[in-house]
Amino acid sequence: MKQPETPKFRRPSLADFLVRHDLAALLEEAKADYNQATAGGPRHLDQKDIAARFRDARRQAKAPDHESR
Amino acid sequence: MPSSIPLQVLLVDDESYFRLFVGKVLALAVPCTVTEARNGEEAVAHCRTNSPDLVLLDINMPRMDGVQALPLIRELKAATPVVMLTSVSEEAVVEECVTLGASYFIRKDVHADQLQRELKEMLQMFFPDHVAPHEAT
Repeated sequence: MKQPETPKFRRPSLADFLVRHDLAALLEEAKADYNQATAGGPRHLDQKDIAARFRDARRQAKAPDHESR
Repeated sequence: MPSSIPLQVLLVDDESYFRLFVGKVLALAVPCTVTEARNGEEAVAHCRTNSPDLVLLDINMPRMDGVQALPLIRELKAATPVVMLTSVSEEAVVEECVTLGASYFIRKDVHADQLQRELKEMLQMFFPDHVAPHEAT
């Protein structure tokens, strides 16, 4: 004869094996963690960044002259 | 008073409408003579027999692209400002252009007003004697 289920001996259901996540919160975390530099795609620079690179390069190119004077 | 000697500008781009636009912006900003080339090969050939004061060089072009042409132009014209003018903005390409000796790099995939401003600032940077103060901004 089948015994009635008590809270103590309740058969586990599929729901007990599911890990529940807050998907909306996970999505927000993923967005916050996303970084183009580490995501594998090429990183694009805006004009301000590009100008800074060339300014730095010019500064470095000029530096030896200043040191020798 | 700005110099009245016209700048010799070599404008290298495969898109004719873009050459037209940039040519007009340059002409409004400084006294200049603009020579056009449609690819890197034509640009290098021009530099073999001429001495431009400024080279504006696109990257994506047929036959020979700007990154291939840049070191060849640098060999011929070590002191000439070579400014990359391109819609390519990948960090690796920008860094490569720095290494190969580009003098500056302007993104052309921006609004026309901004591009006009960037071109004028570039002229002010390399040819301050040619740009009238009110034209610099």
